[in-house]
Amino acid sequence: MMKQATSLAQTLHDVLVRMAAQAVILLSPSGKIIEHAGGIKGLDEEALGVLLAQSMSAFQHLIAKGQQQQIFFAYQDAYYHYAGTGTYRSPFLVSIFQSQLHRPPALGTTKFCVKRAYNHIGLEGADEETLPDEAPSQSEALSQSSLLAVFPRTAGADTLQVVPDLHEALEETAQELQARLLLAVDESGTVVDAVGESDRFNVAEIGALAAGSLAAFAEASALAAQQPPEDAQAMVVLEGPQGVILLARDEGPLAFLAILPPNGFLGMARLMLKDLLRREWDVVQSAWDDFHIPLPIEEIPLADIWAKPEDAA
Amino acid sequence: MRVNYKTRELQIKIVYYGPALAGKTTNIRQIFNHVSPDRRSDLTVVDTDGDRTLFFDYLQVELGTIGGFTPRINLYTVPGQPIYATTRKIVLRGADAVVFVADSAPERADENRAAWEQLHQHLHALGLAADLPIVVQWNKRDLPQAMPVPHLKSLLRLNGHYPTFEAVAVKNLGVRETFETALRQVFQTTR
Repeated sequence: MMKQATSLAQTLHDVLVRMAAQAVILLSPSGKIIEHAGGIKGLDEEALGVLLAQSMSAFQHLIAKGQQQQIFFAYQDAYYHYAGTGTYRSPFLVSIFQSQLHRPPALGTTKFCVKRAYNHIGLEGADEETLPDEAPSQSEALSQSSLLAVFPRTAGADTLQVVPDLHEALEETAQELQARLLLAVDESGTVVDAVGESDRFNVAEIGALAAGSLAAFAEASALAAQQPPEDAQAMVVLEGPQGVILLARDEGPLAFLAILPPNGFLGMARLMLKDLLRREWDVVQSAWDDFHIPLPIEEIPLADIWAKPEDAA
Repeated sequence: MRVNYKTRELQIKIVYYGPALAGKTTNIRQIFNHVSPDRRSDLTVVDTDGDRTLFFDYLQVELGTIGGFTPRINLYTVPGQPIYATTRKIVLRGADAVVFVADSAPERADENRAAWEQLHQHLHALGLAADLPIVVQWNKRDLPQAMPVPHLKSLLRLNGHYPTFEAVAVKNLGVRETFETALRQVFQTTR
């Protein structure tokens, strides 16, 4: 499927020049570096490759099950930028920028260059036989107003976080963007709140994937920019034939995921997600006092979750 | 544990941790196979070529109601290979309990100890070390040369601090007991 190594190296070098990138790396799906052009002094490319492969694999799960082509971008405005494209389970092309030295090209330019590079490399058109069957998705509408709290590990020892205005903010943002789904996810991958619904997605699953992929990307960004990961911001744009997904996080407690229709308001969505990230959600203590669930161990309903032997898969 | 008052849900995260090929994914697959289909999500596997975990596996199990709330148990595995140390730390974020899956094969003794020590380093770094419930599973007890359990306990210096279970995950032995104990530990810690 791939052309000769010399041709590949030349192509990557060409992309490096055209995109004014510091490095362009072609990764295998497991994170192994197949080829690269340019480089960053002191960068642990092996670790970076693994993290990027993980984040991009999770991104692909979000948008690309069974799809032939997708483009995705992930970047930080201040420090770092990369872009990639591919077919499901094909190698990934990654471009790395550091904006202190190079101003990243506009999204459209990046998209064009990455597509062009990918075509040159000859990786388009994944083998259909390697594509997994698309698992039946569960529709899980979480359109009700919700209010999330976190138990203190030792009762009464900590404060309790709640976010009373979150749902209102999500509703306003989703309406403004005509988003099909807008999620707030915490660092554990739990969907804190959601508005809208989609038959294509299991909300809990994309919450887990979003938190994981953003965390991996933030670690990779921190590695490339040589800064602490807690400072890492991330904004990811996933583009597929059926729409666009935006993911955003910074050092705050919540990450956000928006699913927009094709040709959605991408520029506005970026700004509005940044606005959500900038807000400080209220911290309230009283919810813990109001929460009085008797939790005797013997009453945890474990027995009825198991399938009878004849029903087991 | 996270409480959503409006949807009346309790969200719980349990992470299966351990050295490569110890049987973490096998545990999750057995739970997937033996929980009623109407009580679980699809199994999400972010892997490389359909075998080794690249990022994590994910499964959600729903319990019956407790006090009017529906507990949703989010199960994750981590990739075990040494190169994925950062990834394991990422997946541990926000965990409510950890199941440490140890490999009983004698030649995996060093990997078990290294993974155990790294788990505690990660928990300390994440501020979870103080009272996070941990359940230890001695997997692959059917191996002819399986290390004796006292030896495994000594290897990890357990000193009776954690509940332990013998298991043969590929045969679904010990999987359910391990999972249920981890869950009980979460509720015990919360009370």
